[in-house]
Amino acid sequence: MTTASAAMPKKKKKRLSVANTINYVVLFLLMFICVYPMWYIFINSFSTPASITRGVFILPYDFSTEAYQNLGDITNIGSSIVVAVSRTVLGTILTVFCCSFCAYILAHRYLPCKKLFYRLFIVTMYLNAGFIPYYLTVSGIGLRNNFLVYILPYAVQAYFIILIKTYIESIPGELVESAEIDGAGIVRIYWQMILPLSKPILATIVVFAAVNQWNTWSDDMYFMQGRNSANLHCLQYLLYQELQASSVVDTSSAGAAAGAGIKVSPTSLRMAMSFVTIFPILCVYPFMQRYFTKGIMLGAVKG
Amino acid sequence: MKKKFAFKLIALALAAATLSSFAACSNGGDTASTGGDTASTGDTSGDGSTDDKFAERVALDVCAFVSQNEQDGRRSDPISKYIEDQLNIDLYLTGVTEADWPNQLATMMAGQDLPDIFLLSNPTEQLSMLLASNSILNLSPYLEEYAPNTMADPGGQLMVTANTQSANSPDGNLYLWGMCKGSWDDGTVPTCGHYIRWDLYKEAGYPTLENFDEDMLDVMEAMVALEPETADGQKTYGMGSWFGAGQGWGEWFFTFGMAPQEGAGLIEATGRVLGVSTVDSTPLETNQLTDKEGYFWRAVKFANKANQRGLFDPDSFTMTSDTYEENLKAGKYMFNYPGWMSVSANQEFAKTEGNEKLFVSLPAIGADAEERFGNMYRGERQYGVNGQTKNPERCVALLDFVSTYDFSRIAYNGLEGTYWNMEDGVPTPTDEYLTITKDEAEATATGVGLYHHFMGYGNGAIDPETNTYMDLYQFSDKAKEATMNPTLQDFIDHYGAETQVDVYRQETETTNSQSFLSFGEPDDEISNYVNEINAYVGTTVFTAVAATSDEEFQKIQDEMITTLQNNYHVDEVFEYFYNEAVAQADDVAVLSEMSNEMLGIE
Repeated sequence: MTTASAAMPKKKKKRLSVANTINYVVLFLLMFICVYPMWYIFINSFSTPASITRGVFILPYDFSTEAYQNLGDITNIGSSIVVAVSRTVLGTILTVFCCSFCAYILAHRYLPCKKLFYRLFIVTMYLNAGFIPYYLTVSGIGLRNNFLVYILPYAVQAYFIILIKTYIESIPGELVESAEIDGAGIVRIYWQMILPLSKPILATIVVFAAVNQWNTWSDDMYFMQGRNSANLHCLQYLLYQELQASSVVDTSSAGAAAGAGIKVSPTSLRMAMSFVTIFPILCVYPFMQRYFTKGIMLGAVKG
Repeated sequence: MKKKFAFKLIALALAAATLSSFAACSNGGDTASTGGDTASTGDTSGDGSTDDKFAERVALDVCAFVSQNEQDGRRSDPISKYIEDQLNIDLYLTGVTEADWPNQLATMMAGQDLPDIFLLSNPTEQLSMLLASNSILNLSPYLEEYAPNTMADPGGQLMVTANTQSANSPDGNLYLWGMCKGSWDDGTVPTCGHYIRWDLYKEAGYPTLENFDEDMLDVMEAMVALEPETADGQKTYGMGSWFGAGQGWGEWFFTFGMAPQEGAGLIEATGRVLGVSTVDSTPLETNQLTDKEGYFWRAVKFANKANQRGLFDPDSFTMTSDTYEENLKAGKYMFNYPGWMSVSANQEFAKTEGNEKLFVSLPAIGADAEERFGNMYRGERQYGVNGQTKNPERCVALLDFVSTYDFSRIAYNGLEGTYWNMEDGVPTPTDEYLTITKDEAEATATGVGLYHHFMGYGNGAIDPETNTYMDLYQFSDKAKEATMNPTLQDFIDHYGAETQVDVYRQETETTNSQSFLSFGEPDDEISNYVNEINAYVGTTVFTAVAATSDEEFQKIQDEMITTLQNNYHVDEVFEYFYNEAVAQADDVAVLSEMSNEMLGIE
């Protein structure tokens, strides 16, 4: 009787060939090039301003949490985080829902003037009237100093519609037809068939929309002004304002006297802000990645 | 069939949605005009006493260059409350930055959503747009009744006169209200100066400094030899700069590094082609970008010489200004141009007990004039009042109120009793005020420093009534006594003077600077040329600094000058601005006379 170990072919000891070694080295260098900028931001955000000027390094040279303490001192940062999270969650849900429904309708074979409608959506990707008309429109419909300005204008986006429509068109038409024979209506088919089958592309859209929502601050700057904007400002805008204020070069000696006590330079503040900004997205990306790759490939416009 | 019908309905809805989104884009003009129609112009009759007028409490929206925004704009600091109580208003004050405000202002202007009082970040361009859209108020009819402080103050009269001259007003009416008049310093820390580490200069045995272009390099070399490393082991250099900051700010060094210290100013709005005397505002005869012996090229050559001798920090080519400032504070440089950074470095040095390191501004070297005791006659920042405001009188009253010496003192130092008291009629800082950092004082609790660019006078302006500077923290006698150190005393003794201010007065013939030119908005063509010149110079001049030999420098300089003349219309631009400057001679004479009378200059 032969033992199991004897039956099994002898495991070949892996040898590191020259080619593999070169591959590992090259890949490590590529990884380092990708990862180091982020690591640099991280370590600089935990360094004193003086040590940042000393160049590139691997670990914080002179550890300091001043930059983060400075961010914590921003007035109303708590409410701004609530607003930022709210707009990200609600805005993403609305975008996914509206874009997917639009895409479903545009992909349907019975829609009259289908191509015309589709092209009208596409046109908005290339043509726009400029910011002033947009500002006037948004103001005219009462969205100034209104939380809805963060989510309504982003509800329908042509690029997302193209991705989802292309994906939906890859779903066999027979599935939809059989559901129609069983008496399912448009909304039921959308809700119970299209959405579950479109998870990969929807996950992709969720990532895109959430990142956009989380990072956007310009709508806050233009549409949240004055006395009616209390507690409606987003985290990103407050951070941006803080950065602007710290970066203003006050050429007066009074400015210098005022600034002399500040232990945080604009650079270290920028680093801390960058990290605060990208951290939530860094947390979300790995969980969505498996859908993301699949979705973007399947939803890609095919020639 | 049912499904087809349903899809037809959806198709109709989609069509309606699409059309409405297109229509929405083209409704801008209507919306704007509606906004304008519904706004009230307010009561401008001027009947009744001021007290009667102010009996009703009103809310004013203000967008100004101030710090520490609060969420709804309503301020909780004591200085804001003081303003509100004095004028019976609710003050909603939003701080804006120069980077974003131009875009915000443009959209607000289009939507007729302007606040009651607002900053004009670029008055030359913005005033014409505001006038075209009837969005800025003519302040002239309100001055007598609602701006009594300004009209009684020589500095206020000078500002009003300047802002009603043709360069700043198309019809002789007052639209722009200048803030931060006077000076940003007491003459000891000019914005652009030649600052050296006096402690090392003294240690080096006061080497000869008769010629800036050559002697200063030798002095820097001697100082570097005495202190080749900083306390934390970094190599020291004679000087550095922040070329990595980008066009405009990156070449600040060349615009202000040489001219002000010899009684001239290169006007940035002209693309630096025009230089103006700070003594009498006459334009210099030569184009500064093509004159090899002009201030611009001398500053470039100086940096190049320093570079060739290894005295110029090589990181300067990629460095930003905040990194430069950290290096300066770490003791890496022996020589520096910006006054505010020198103050910052000195404060850093002073944190180490017994440290005698000190940057001191040198008197003019080999020149009989310098820009030392300046007077921002128009005010450093310009504000306007919304042409559609419902409370024009109250807006003018607010501008007038914050423009007084008294308010400026409060804005810098807090309300009386917090950090200063009136002692024998003289505002005097408390001991506590002089021991804390200004940053510690600046807080919502005290309001100190919040109104830094929304007040009448700069911190170096002198209140004629009490003969004291606005900024008690830096420039009061008590503050100067507290900050006097052996190095500064040595500087004063070296020149045989009583005070630091006296050093400059006695060493240079003319130290008062007067630059009264204001160019308004040039032709589109000239504006484009200026932008192109700035873009070219801002990206090319650094190669001249990096030249490794005099021959290479010469070659780059020749190429740049030839390119500027052949491709960038530099001579045409110079001619335009030179003629404009000459044409303003009469206006300048009026302002000059008023200013001299105010400052007691004969």
